[in-house]
Amino acid sequence: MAQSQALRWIQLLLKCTIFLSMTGAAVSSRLFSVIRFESIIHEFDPWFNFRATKYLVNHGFYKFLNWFDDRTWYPLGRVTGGTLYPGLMATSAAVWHGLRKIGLPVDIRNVCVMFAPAFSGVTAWATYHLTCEIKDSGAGLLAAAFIAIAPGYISRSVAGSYDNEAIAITLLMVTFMFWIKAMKTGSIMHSTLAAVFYFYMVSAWGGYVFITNLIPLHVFILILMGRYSTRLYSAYTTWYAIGTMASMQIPFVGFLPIRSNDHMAALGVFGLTQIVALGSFIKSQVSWAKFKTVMVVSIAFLLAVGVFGLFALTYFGYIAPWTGRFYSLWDTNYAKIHIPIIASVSEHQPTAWPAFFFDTQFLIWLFPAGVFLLFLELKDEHVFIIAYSVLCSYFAGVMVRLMLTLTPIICVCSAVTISKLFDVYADFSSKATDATVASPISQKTRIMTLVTKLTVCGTFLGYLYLFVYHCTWVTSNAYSSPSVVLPSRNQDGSPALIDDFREAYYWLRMNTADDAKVASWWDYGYQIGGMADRTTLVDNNTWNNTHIAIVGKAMSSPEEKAYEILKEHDVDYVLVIFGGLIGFSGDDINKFLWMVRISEGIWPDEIKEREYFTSSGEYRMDEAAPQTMKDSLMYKLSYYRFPSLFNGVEGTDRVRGQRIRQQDVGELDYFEEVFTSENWIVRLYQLKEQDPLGRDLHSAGEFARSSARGFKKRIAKKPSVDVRV
Amino acid sequence: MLAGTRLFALILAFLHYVIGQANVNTLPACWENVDYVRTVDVSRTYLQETVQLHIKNVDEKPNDQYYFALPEENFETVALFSAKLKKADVFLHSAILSDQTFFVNGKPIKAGIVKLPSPIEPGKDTFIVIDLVYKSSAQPFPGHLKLGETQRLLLSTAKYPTSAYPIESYTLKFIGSSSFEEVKKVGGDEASCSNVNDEFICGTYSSLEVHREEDSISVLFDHNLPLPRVSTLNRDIWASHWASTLQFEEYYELINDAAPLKEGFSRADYMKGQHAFKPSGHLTALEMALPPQSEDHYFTDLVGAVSTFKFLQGHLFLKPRYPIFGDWKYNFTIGWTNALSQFLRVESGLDDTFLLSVPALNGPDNTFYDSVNLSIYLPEGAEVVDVWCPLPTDSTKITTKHSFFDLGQGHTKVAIELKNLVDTVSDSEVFVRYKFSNSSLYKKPFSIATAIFVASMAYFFLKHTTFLIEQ
Repeated sequence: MAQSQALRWIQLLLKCTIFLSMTGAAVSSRLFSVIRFESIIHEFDPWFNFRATKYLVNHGFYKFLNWFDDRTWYPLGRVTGGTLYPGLMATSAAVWHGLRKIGLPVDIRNVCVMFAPAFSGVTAWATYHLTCEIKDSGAGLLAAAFIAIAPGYISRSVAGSYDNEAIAITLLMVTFMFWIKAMKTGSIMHSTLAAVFYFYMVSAWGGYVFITNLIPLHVFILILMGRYSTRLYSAYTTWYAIGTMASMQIPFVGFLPIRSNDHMAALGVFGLTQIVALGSFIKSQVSWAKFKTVMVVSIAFLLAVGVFGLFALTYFGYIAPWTGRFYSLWDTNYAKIHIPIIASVSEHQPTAWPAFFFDTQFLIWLFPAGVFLLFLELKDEHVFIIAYSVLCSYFAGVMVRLMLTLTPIICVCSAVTISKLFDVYADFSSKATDATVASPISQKTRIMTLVTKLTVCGTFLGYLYLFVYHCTWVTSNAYSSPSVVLPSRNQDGSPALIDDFREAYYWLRMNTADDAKVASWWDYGYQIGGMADRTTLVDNNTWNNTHIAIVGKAMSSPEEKAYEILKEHDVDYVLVIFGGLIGFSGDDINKFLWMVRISEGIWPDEIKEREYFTSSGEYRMDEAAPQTMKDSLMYKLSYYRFPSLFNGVEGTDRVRGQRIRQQDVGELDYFEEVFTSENWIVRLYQLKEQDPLGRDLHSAGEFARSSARGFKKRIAKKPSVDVRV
Repeated sequence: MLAGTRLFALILAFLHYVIGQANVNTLPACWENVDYVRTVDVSRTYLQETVQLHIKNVDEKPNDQYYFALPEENFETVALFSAKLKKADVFLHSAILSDQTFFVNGKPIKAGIVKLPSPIEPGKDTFIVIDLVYKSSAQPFPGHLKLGETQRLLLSTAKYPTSAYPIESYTLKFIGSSSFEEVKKVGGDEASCSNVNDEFICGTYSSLEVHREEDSISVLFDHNLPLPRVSTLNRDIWASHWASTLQFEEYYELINDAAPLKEGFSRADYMKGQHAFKPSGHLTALEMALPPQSEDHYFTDLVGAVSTFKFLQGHLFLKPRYPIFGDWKYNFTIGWTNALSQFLRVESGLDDTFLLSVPALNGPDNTFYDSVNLSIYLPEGAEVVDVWCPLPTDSTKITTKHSFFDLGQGHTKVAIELKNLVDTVSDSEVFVRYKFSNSSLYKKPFSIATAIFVASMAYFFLKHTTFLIEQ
């Protein structure tokens, strides 16, 4: 007894140590960017979340929920409080307030930067408990270790990556953990907790729809398999009732759970469980033959009513039809044809197959094995894992960013596989008992068994080592760049930073009017709002396709027309990203075709994608470029004065490797260059004032140039006149 | 403030008129300026005036107080006012009488007072030198420049001095630029200024009355340098007894008063002309002189860390994100850490009383500061005995501020507001004497330890409590 007590203590101590080191590994591997660069918010979307968090902290929760942001989507503005998922901001504000209460007034930026790493520790803990329910605590520890360092998850949760996904994966795992517990025991407490975390998830990420559909799917499959039980009934109905009611409290979600098609499955299954419950009650009361007829009739009736009702309600507009993003999940070409704005986002592209290996390394081939092993046992909770695996494997194949939801289940399944392997092959204890019994097994067989076991264990330990190595390498090299700052080298080889974005944003912030309006492609909207603190026309919250198309049209139109469009929208400054000088390939010229496509979608008569290609269908910027391209505002703003850096005639664009001619770029009459960053990545132009004499700006510019030329000519002519006299 | 003073002066003037004569604020006409040489140095961002005075007592009794009249346009922006004897090179007691208005010939003026070391007998004379530093009112002329053009400044100043006493001989000199040129007004006086060995001399004028009608002179000169001005500086100094460090953090709001660019900033021209390395009106780098042996330097601004700074031999060299052209602004924060022992002394005989002396400024050379908020944070529980600042302060407040691990009333904060500073006062030291007992020192770790202990015990007991309804 005393011995087992001691053993328990040692186990607990070991477990605690393992968890602590796992959290340590999870957090520290996410800190590459902080150590290499600084504590900074990354990418694009996190800048909005950061700005919203600052607003929440400064103005309080109710003001935040009612926040109408007039500094984006000018002149429309955005009802930000009602169109965002407040979970992330509310959590970090709570953390911030909590820390202040205990005498740690940490800067809100540091809370936001360290948010995702801190929550990755919680994810590991939740994954552990989930896997414990699936197999045992050995598998649980492995799964937790995997999820702690798997690049698929790290990609969205490095320090500074302050995005909804940072908290959403944690909540996903916690909700599923409580669901499995609730489903196994029928415990109302656990299903309530699952509902509460589901609510939290709804408040944090649009991807909550995944839970909304996965749990009903699980219940539906179990019912089809004839595994209905009262436990399942109490778990599901509790979860659905509380979860749905709670989720409707989020302003952005509102009545969607009863009106949108995405949520209909959950409602349907809820109804189904009631009927099944009734059926099973009747079944226990009446004879089998009677029950059969009742069942057939009622199923047919319900199916007919259900399907008809769904169609009718959708037809009359009571239920919102499926959204574009949903269609693009089933048909990967849908977005490209119908909604170019969704297709233009790189993370919405289909996944390339090496990405699976890159993000999960050897887990990817252990994953199917794990699913297979679960199939062999096929308990109720295994059905859940299998459904999750199958669904997410498909989704991850369709959209790169859904790799994120696949990664946790890969970790769980591969942990199951490895733990099973180790159960069998790392069990050296049976050897001793075998030997004492002196079984008929020969010495040779015994040695061979030992060798086999050692080989298998050794191999897998090697794989595990490689996995850790791979994860660290991927995290360090692929996922730890803030993308706001780019690393580079000085001439003497010492490390330096290319900080052009912040240079230009800060210039805007310091040296322009507080209410200046900046037009740029939507990618930079959030950053301009967050760093430059200026009003933007469009931003990364791509809700208004037309408005984005307006900017796209201005960029693809000739200078004069663009000026007109931009003036109509009160624009003061135009910002373009140009990588031609230092070879930064993510610049606006490379995104230009999307601008053309999106505006062509709205104005097919005025903008035609075909006109931006050469006659042989090439996308070129040099002398062979078509006239429409050379005339477009984007071309002019990108290359304005660029050739003068070289010899004044031709400049070499290092991204496209093409020669840009001065005569193609020409002069700017409607725009004035006001700032260009050190490496020319960001270029800012101001819209010129109307001409005081009432001329149009082009002729005013022509006049100024010709008078400058004419002045020179007169001087040159004078001597010849003298000679004649 | 100024309007209020003026209104007050007007009412006073009215009263004088009604009552007649006899006013306490009329300056006694006991001196005569035998020679008055005003030298204006324009080499820096602000103006440095040196007035060499040869004064003679024309009163019947010995006098030791000399009132120096200050021009009203500069009065609000005076940074330094000091006086010394010409021969001895000793500073005299002097002060600006900011809340008194005097009347000379019925006109209100402001004045500074100089106390001579010993009273001067009637009919005797002496030589004193007044140093006056104030914000420059020089404007770029022309107002906008192209990249690479030489900047010229136009300075308008009073042609004749405002003085409380009659002047026999007066000379006005401008120094500090390679070229001076007077801009004549239509119908103005004949030019009487000329360039003599890098100096631009106007005068000598003789027999000036006490308070002449305003007559200004406009001088145009080359000044191809930036004109940095810090509109606000928040200088926070944190003293920590546990870490034995003194941490400095300074937030600057900097603006360049030089001539703005005529057209937008063209990076192409800037790169081709290599203007980053040419002296001009734009500011490409800042040099901060830090206290010796400083460590952990950082340079950030509102959007994050700025990587382009270097620390060399006690100087912090900052390269802002972009070259700061005329009218451009740049806000930034710098910080560093020093050992506390460099600045802190224990009062002899008293173990719990400390004397902290911190430099008033560590900013860049050749800079004018509109307003400076100097905050000194003492450890939690410290009790301020005495604050002494050698510079004229606007206000001194003692409050508290919650910072890391402050569970009680927070760090003791000494907030000093200063106005109109120039970089040359960086040698001045601000002294704070405070009491900080050992019990306050140990109270903090003890309270933290107690809090953690209570939390862990609470967790332990809660974990061991059973909430099951039935076993």
